[in-house]
Amino acid sequence: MAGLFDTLGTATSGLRTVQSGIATTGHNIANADTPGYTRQRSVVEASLPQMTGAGAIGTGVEQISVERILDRFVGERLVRETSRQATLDTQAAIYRQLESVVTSQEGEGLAGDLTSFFDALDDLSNAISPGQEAERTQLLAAGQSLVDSIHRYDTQLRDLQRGADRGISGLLAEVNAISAEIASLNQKIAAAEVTSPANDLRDQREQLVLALAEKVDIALVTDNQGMLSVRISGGLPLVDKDIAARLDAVVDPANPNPFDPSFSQVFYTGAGTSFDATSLLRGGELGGLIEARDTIIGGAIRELDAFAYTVAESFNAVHRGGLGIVDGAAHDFFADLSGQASVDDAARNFALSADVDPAQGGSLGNIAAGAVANPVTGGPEAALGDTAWVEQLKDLRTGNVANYLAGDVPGTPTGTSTTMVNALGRFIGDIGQGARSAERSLAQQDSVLAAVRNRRDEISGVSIDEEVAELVKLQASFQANAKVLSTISTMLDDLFAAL
Amino acid sequence: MRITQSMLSRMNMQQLTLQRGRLARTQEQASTGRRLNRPSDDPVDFRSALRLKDAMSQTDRYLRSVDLSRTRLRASEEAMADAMDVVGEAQALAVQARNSTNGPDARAALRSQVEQYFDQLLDASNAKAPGGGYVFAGVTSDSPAFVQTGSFVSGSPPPTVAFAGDDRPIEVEIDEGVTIEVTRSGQDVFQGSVDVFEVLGRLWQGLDQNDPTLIDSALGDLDVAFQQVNLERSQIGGAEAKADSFERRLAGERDELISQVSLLEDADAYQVYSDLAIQEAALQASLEVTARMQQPTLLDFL
Repeated sequence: MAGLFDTLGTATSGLRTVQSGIATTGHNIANADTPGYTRQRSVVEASLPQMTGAGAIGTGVEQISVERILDRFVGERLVRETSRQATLDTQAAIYRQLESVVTSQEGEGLAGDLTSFFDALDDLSNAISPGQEAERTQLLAAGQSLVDSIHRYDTQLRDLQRGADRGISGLLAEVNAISAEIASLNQKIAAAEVTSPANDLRDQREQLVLALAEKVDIALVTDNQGMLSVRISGGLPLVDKDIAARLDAVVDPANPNPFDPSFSQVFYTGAGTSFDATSLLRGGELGGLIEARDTIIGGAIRELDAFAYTVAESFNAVHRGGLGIVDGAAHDFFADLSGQASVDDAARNFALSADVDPAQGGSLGNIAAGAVANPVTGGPEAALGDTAWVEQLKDLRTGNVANYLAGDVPGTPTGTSTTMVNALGRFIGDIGQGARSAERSLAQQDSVLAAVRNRRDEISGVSIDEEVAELVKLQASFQANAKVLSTISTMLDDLFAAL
Repeated sequence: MRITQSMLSRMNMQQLTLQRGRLARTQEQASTGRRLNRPSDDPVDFRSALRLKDAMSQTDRYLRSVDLSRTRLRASEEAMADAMDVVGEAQALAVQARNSTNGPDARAALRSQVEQYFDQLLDASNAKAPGGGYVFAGVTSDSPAFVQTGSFVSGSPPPTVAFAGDDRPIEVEIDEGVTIEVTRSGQDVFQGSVDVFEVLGRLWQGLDQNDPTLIDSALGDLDVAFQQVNLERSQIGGAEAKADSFERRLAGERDELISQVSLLEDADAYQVYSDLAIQEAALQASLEVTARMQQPTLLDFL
């Protein structure tokens, strides 16, 4: 049978446990608004009973540990959805900027310039004065506006692309810093958990993992020592226990970026090797930016190239069939781009031809307005009043033309023939369509991510009501234990008085 | 389900962002009056609007072509009217020359009158459009359509006039695939079935040689000449009528295109303002709810 002093110990164990329970509750309340904090719970159980002839008699309570309340699967989902949200957010932002390139310009932008160009052709066909000097000047100016507009689009798209490239380099520094920190936390956690779970260090590490997931898509593996290994898509270890690998922006002359050789590739350095891992990186801001640079903005640049080539090639083809008023030779209106290996970079090289542009030593008279050689003088050039060929040029406004698509080889267009306005509409429409679906996916992902975060907070978040109720309960428990203590104390006094 | 403080504030913020976003979009539509402010607002409609606006601009140009072609038609018509006046007066003169016995002085006076008619006719045949070239010279409008050789010298043959232009008329497109001829061939007008210059020359020669047979034949051919110029002039009238009818059609087409573009691009004002009112109310409600986030906890009752 247990003695009074044993019961004194029982009451003391109760007081101690209640006190540590209050400490845990206090910790929860203090961290109610700490980002990434996981609520903790004190785990207690009855201590081993004392075996007597009358049976087992309780000896009080014992605190086993303080544990975090979490759902691992929700945590993993949070990592995945955070990555996805960051990708979509990055891409939606890129699309918003792409859209502003094609819409924020004065007037109607490129579409307006194309319309003005054909309007100027109309004026040329209506010209009354022999030689049509004013109308030819106007047509050349409209052509120049078209050239300038395409160049402006091209420059702005390429600036945007360069911004994405810089963003990639900037992100890599952050990724490396976070991976190094996770590696160092791994070490601390392994050291601390020899004795008890390092709850708050683990919270810190989970926050870092989420920050890393925002940058790039990752997969997680935990070993039995509590160390967390982080792998990027494709299985490359970014953090292996306490060692972090590096991702660096490298300009690789052996494999230059097709848009700009000064653009960086992402090199992975770790486990004794170093190689180009650009194509392996997906998800997160990093994956979003790489896709934006090489596919989204790059795609828009190539579509603009194809449009510029379509305009230059189809207009020149008809223009060469007409006659100027200087000589009987065939002239180009836009610079001939058919010598390019592909239609790539056509927007950058798009220009008026030197034949018709006085600024390049050409003559307005080489604009092929005439249809036939001078019937009166018998010369090879067209008569001054002949504007019949302009009708052929004007037909290009509503007629179908050979339609080049991105990457086509000059001479073999692969698009279904269409009008120039439609070709331009496709370029602008594709950007609009992309922007629309990026915006929609982002909105959906925002609510998916919010739902997962809510699910996490439902399990791991601190509820003030709950904690206060716990506090009340613990307080009562403390009072009860104290009562046991004082009762035994009185009993002992009585005993001592009887002596 | 456990509800924690962070969940509540997140849900409130999410609602607020959503409603602010919707409201911003509606406000943009209200302030610009446009439904399509960027391609992503409706990529398909944006493309259609692009095409329709180009068609609208083209219709405007066709209307301008109609206007400009009228200027040129009028220039030709005026020149032909002048030519018909000259031919008419020459007819009257020929009748007078044949009906009365004219002395040498009177004949000389009539002769110089014919010389003037000849010059006037040449002027008419080399008429210029306002700001433009020679209307009867075809595509070679920079040089005169008719060139005179020789001059009037008593006792010698009269001067001749040769066509030096291009005899194809100039066409202007006034609608897709529809053209009108804005000039007439100078050769058809002045040297068609009869050469008007030659007829006047013959009249002069009849007067110079006092040869009534020549005057008679000239008188007969002047009538043919009058009909010839008149026929060409009526063609101009026909072209003008065609221009008028296409102008009406084009104006109608343009109105149609404008309303189509407006249908695609412009915001429905009633819809926008009612949306605006609803969304503002919803935002206000959300704001009030968020302001009450300082909700009581168990603490308030202990």
